[in-house]
Amino acid sequence: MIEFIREVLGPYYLQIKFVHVVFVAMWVFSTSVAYAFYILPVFKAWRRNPNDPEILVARNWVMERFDDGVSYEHIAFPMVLITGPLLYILGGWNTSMAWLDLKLLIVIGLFIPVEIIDFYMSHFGGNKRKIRDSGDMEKYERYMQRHWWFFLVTTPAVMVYGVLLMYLAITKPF
Amino acid sequence: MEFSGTPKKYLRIAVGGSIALNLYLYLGLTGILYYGHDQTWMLGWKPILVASLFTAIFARIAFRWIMRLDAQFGSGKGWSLEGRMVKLPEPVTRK
Repeated sequence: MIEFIREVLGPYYLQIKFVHVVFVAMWVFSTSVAYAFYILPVFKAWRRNPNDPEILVARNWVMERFDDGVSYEHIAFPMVLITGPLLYILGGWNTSMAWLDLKLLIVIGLFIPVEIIDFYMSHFGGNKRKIRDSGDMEKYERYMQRHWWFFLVTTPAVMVYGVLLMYLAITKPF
Repeated sequence: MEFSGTPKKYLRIAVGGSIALNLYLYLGLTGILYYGHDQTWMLGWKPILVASLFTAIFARIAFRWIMRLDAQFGSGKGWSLEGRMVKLPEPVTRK
């Protein structure tokens, strides 16, 4: 199977790398403006004024929009996961390169679990719009707060280790 | 429903998360290189020092970051709250 992939896709290594880099950029940056300039100001306002009904309306609306907006990131991530292993196979990479091992450990141990939770929170059981439509407003508030917990816990790691991933991939330092 | 986040919880998450994540990365990388390729350089004092320092620094960065995100740090003076009447666009559910 691996030999077959190498034979068929081998000549297209650079094209696959191009697709990989495009989707990595989309995965990393597609939500950055919405997160930094819509989610954060509104959620900080909510945390300072937790019972203000107008801020609650704004908070709920931006989070529901963000659940949809994160779709770009969630289209890009599976593409990264498909093209990454292809590059590994076609490029003849192996585990003797420490930078690549570290990069893969970060992806497998940090980013894949984070994205699985993010998929669930945004599109499946945790989708706020669907919960609102069900009429269970207690669950809606619980999931809204759960999503904020998710942002609080993951933001520092995603930012720091995301930059580290790109640094490792570009400089291949060890 | 009150939000359950507190500075004490954030500190525990930052310190515990940093230790768990960096220990996983250090042991994972050391294991791959040692058992897969007989490389022992990850067992030297320099990688251990770098991993330990990074763990401590990341724990501090993560804690302060979470505190800022959750409006526990900062005064919020950079933003004002203005009441407006608005209509919010909502996607129509297709049936």
